[in-house]
Amino acid sequence: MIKTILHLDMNSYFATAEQQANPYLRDKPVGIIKAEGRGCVIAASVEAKKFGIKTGTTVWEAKRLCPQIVLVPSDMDKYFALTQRMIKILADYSPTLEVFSIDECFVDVTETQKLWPGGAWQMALELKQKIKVDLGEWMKCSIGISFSKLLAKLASEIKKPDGLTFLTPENYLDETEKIAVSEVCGIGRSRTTMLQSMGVTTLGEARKLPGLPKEIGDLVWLRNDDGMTAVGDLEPAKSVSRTFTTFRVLSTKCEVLKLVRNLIEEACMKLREMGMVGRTFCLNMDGFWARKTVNSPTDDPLIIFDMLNREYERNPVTEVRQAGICITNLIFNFQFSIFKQRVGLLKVVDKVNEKYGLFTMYPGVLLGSELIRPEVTGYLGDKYYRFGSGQK
Amino acid sequence: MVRVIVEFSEGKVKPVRFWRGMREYEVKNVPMIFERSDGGRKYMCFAVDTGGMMAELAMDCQSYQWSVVSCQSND
Repeated sequence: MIKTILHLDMNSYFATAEQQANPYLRDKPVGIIKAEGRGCVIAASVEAKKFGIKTGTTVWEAKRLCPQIVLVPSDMDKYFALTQRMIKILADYSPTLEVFSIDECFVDVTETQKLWPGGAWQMALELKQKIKVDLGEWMKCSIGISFSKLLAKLASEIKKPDGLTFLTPENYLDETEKIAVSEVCGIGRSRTTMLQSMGVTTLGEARKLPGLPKEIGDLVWLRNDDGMTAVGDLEPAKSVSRTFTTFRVLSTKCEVLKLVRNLIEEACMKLREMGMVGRTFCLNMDGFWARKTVNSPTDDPLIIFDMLNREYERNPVTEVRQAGICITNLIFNFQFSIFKQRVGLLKVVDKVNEKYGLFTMYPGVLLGSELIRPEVTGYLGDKYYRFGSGQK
Repeated sequence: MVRVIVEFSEGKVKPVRFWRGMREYEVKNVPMIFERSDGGRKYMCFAVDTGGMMAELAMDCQSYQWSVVSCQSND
């Protein structure tokens, strides 16, 4: 049976959300940055994109391309709140929904489209209208409809912003002739470079090449048909990690260790929230890397910090701007000894932070430093806990 | 903490007027309403336009206390 998959992609999501919240930014070139003084644009409005500004453009380059650009610090809580509302709207159209990222969703409407006289096309038009009514009149989305996820995603990219494109089995090859190979999900930088070295930039040109490797040929001919990873199919995380790039270089050991401790506290809070413990702990910084695996799994930040600190002391790097913690070998529902007082203490701390806000209680060693707080990422790596069976 | 007058209508709450310091502001438009979480604590946030200023008002859903999260003049 031929499937009908809908791909919804919010246009210039972060920037549009800020323009929705602040009408005085509408029709102006807006660039979203991580924070004041940070180096890169992480999202650009439709108006800013006309000047050639895109994700990854440095701030100085953005100002050079468009001196009148308005730079706005990102607000991930706001964008994620809108995403949750978007998902609720989509769930009214099909129970089979895959949250691909903070601004993209796949919806399998193969069966439910029969409830609409105009089928998937009418559903899509209605969806666009509902998004505008519920999220805001400035929020626009592009929708692609086709018989596979790959094609649906490509279809949504054909017309932006505010597009609606249907790729049928009859027209999809013709309609995708002029699309750049780099636009295809699955053809990344190295494959694009390889194809460009063969004189190919579009799918039409790539299809004329003989002897392409099967994986690339399938992508060029758009034959891939991955199944939906619906909300109910999401799996628990295999790792918990937290990385942070600081504003300025950390030039003392004390500053570096404070950052590491902060990241470990955050990662462990996440572990305890998920009801998991870990056995392998990795610390990664500019010019430093260490990994330790223990027999007794733990979610105690003090134990993990002590362990990684001993490794750090063997080669105490400074002049650091980026640090990352990764906890793997995760286990569910591990039972600690009832005599361990730290377990009880951490439970109380979690309860206080749950009731009064994150980091209401935190280790004294972090006093005096600006606390780095958890935030939603665009990729939504913790979908299982935000939307799936792990949700509280 | 700020003092806010709200309107309840059709099961929803909307800020109408608020005071910040000695100044009174009338809310002319609410272009966005969304929720923030801080641990288990939830805040209902309202982006409000007073004509001369954009502000974000946050209402603690447990204590019903209001605060001004941010302010930006429209110039």
